[in-house]
Amino acid sequence: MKHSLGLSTRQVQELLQRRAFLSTSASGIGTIVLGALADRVRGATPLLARTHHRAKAKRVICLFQSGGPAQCDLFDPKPRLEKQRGKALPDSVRDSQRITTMTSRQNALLTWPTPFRFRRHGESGIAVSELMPRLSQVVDDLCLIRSMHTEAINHDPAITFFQTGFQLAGRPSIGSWVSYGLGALNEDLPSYVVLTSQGGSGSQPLYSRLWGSGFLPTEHAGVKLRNTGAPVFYLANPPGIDGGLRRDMLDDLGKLNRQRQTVVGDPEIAARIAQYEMAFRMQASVPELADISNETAATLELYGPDVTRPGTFARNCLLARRLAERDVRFIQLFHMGWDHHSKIADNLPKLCRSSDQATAGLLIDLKRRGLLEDTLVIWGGEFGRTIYAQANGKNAGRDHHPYCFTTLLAGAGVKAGHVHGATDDYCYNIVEDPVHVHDLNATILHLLGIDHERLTHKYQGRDYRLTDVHGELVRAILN
Amino acid sequence: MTHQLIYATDGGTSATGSRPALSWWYVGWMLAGGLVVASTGMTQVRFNRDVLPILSAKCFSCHGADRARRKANLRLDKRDSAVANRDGRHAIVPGEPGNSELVRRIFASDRALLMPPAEEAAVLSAAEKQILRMWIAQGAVYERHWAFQPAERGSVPPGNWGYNEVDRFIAARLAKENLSARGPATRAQLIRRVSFDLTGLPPTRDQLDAFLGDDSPQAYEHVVDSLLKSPRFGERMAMWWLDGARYGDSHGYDNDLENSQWPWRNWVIESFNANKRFDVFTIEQIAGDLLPDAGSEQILATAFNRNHRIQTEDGAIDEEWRTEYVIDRIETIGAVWMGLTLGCSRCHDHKYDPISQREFYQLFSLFNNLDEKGFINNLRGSAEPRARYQPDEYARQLVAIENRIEQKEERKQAMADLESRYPLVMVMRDMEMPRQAFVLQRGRYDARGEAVEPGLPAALPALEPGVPVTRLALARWLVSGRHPLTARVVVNRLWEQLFGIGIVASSENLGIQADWPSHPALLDWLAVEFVESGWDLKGLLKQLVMSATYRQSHRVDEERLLRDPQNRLLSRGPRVRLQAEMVRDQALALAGLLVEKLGGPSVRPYQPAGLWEEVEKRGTYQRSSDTGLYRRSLYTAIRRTVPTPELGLFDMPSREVCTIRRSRTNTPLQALALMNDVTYVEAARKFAERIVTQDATPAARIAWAFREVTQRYPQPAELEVLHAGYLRRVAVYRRRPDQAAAILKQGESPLPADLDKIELAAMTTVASVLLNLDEAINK
Repeated sequence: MKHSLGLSTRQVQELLQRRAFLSTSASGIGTIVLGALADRVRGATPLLARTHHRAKAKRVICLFQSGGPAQCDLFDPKPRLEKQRGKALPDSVRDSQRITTMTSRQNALLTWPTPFRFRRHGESGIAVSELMPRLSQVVDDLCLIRSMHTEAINHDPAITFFQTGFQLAGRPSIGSWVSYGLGALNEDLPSYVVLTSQGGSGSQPLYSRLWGSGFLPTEHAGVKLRNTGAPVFYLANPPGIDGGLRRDMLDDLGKLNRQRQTVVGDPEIAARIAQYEMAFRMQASVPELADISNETAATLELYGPDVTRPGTFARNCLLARRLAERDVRFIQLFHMGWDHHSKIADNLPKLCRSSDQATAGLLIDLKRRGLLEDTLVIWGGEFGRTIYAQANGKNAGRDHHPYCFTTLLAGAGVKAGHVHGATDDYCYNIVEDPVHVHDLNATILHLLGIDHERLTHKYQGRDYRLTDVHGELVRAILN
Repeated sequence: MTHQLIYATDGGTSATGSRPALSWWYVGWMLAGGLVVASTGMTQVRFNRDVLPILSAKCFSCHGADRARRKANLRLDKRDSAVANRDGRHAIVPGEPGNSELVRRIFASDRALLMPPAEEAAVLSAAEKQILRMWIAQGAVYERHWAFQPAERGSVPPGNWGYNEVDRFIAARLAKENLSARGPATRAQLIRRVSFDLTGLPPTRDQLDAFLGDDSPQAYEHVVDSLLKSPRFGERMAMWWLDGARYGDSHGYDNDLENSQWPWRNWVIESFNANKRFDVFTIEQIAGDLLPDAGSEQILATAFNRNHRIQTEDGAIDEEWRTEYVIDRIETIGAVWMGLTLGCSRCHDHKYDPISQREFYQLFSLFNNLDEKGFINNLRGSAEPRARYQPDEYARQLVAIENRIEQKEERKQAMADLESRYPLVMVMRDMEMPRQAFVLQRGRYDARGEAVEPGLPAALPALEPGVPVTRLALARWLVSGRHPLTARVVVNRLWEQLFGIGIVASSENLGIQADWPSHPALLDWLAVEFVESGWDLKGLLKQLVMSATYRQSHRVDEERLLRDPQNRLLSRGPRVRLQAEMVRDQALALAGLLVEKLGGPSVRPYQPAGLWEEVEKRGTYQRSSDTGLYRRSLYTAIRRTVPTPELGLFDMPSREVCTIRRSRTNTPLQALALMNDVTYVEAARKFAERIVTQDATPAARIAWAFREVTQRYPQPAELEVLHAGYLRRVAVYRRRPDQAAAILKQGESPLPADLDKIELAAMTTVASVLLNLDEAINK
């Protein structure tokens, strides 16, 4: 989070007045010291003074579908596979690639083509499953990457990998990298905000590390907006202290801290005063953000009936738009419940209902307001699901599948009505234009004006980056 | 301004990236004054300080130790390779930059020839190129990385400032920079600082008054000695140790159920309180089980290497995760004792430090011999191998239960209680037949390469001839006194605890990529002292806090701020924000709520409602009902995937992996927590009770409270602000008694019936302002 610029400007002015002292040092060093010191006073200045290149996206909305949506039932049709129904998956397709111990214990891996129908939509004629009727209507705004792949096969490492570029805990999440690199656009709100929702029972849990700052300063960690109570931890004044009293107390606190600063001279005190003022502003700006009472009925309708209930994916999508309007840099939603090992025929339609309209509604709403032009929207999970069935009959589900899955992009700088990449007839392996998670992350950073190889942080003697030593920009999907 | 200062002020600006800053300093120095200095013969480029950081960051990834990535078979980390004749050309011709291919290539204007290659992210700044050229001109002298050479006591610089040798080193450096030390801190400031540093708590009023009233020359030493003797000392040191040991109270994956490792935390606290020699402390944690006559306490100590997370997610492959745990142990030991990033060698030879992939797996083989599972679905409690906490006491009470309690349900309850008080703890225990270890290609559990036997990295001192390489031998080797890193790492980390920044700013890494030490000779002197003292931790800490350096005033002036912005030169006393646990513990102490009970199972204080439910499968948080709300924060149960936000906001790590250096941030979310979290509102309310029961006028009561928080009496202007605020809010609450009643209901602790509610509520707001003072959350 950025500190009050008013303050740092004043600080810098004070420092500038000291140049008489510095000029005696007979070199440019003084100016540099001054710059470094001004940075220190300002605290968390963005790492990058300017973006590496012109940014297409000012902000990102990531609609993470936690658990792994089944690409073969939703976005990657295989009409010719019907003939193979119930037959064993050919060894040549699996090619001894790893599968999880949940299905490796099964006697057979039987091919199970999707039970759902696909139809072509829009001018682009892209085929989408009947489970996503609303997304089908906006398909001309979407870019489908059908050739996503990842390295991990279990949820925890896979989702950690998606968020941090590494399967194990300890690295910063993508949103904190963005906050670290670019700083905030809005001084009254955090630059990285997280919202979570439940799509069904038995979801995979989420972990704080998914929006953590790893080894970056913790101020870049995502701030999770809560579904109940105060939207941010400890935001609300306690009972018995109203806004007027709080202001009164803060005024006293500010006076005392300023008096102390004149004695001690530590610029950190000035930064602390600024933080308390920002906290006070957040007490107004965050509830205002979460208050949807001034949204029109037409807008609410876009997101579907769930939008009236706090904590739903639909409500969070609406909040995402409100966050985007307020220029929050990285808006991260997690929608849980896509881990369909069993009863996919019942459970998948349910999850789709909770996600389809809200996602489409968000895209339409952003577009109407002109926000889609400079907002990148991402929809997808940590991996896909297997074409073969886990269990069978009514109980049939699909296991984790890291070798191909579909991620949707829309908005700033990305081709619309476009399909990138292709999978084989079994929706098992990628046959065209593979996109690794590192590639996607590199591309997201690129759209924000960041060269993923140059956004680094030195830790334990090494320059770390989100994409480790990998990542290729996916140029083919860019406008 | 001299070269040294340039380094010193640069170091540790990791949040803004130290390398780019470095190049700017150099540009300033080289282009402005530095070359003049050089021409007068005053400046010699030094390999370790000046050249190695450049080579290491910009060249070694293709021309370093990693065989697999090496290009043109050229190594710049080895002098013989760098100066070798290659078809008539030499990368480096000592003394002849004009004939050195390296110089030609780094200055090349032809992109095809340029080094580092144009397509690489690494770019040499103009200043860095100049340094490389100067270094070659001066003979291209290589030095072994300083931290791999044995520390030498060296000579203590002459001088008369201060109280002990530490001060001579600091003063000598300050003199060189034409800076001077600050005068001493006030006694109030000093006792606050040293109390937090040694016990994690503010001084009590009695301690403060005793110190202020003690005219003897030993007054301060008495304070220090009594703090070191306090049982709170061990708790404070445990806060430090637990980060590196990635101690947590849950397994860290999936639904993340509770473990039962807390007895190990007891062991840590008790060891620090007993001032167990650091070498013994080390050996017991790494290999206590292998000691001859190992007792239950030595075995308990080895839980250190079982504090890693355990995979509980269905579908996981057992061997994959078991392998991760072994690697986690190596990484953690590397970071905690050696300041090295051994984990880099998991997939390939280390790019910077002389640790090969093969050597990594030789270390791996020492921690690979447990009969343990990698994946345990829904694990609750401990996993094998494990040992009973205080087995004798457990057995005694077990017999008592069996003999005394006949009713079945009652007995079951008694057994469950017994089990929770003396749980099974995960410890190290090797199988009779060790597993064969292999090099794992690309670090993958299933990609076995050549078989390896136990061994220690060749770049570090060897064991005595004839000593077999075992886990116990490794532990002894670390603290043999001959290992160049251990003592430096520990001394540096403790220095960081006291002064806010290490002598080596990158306290997590003393390898080749480490920041250059601000006071290299002092670091070595302290390391040697520490070893020769018998690894006496309390002695080391006493030496540091008794120094005049530590006892300086923390006031800053313009010159110090400009020339020593991070206080690396110690031109003033440390002024550092309290760490997370101390922020909360102080509030509880001022409130009179703090329960000073040593050790025991973890507790569950206040946590925002619904926190677990929002992230699924975590059940409902059962808050402690009694004293558990008010224990010191190091006893707060750590559920690693859903940490309590209040401590995390103040930079406490999640304990998923080893953390050596916490970040120290200053954010609005911290302000919100201190203002609004029920922990702090209740603390303000209870503190207010203590204030209003002082037999004095409101103004005098507030002055008393101010001193409770800051150890000093307020200035008249400060008191005026607080007193006027108090009167205004008395008036508000008189108009709104419901509001007064509401604030007094916060928290579980009872409200005395006999106090005036309006005054108490208004004083609660004053207490809250005091707890939020910048001065209150700094030491």
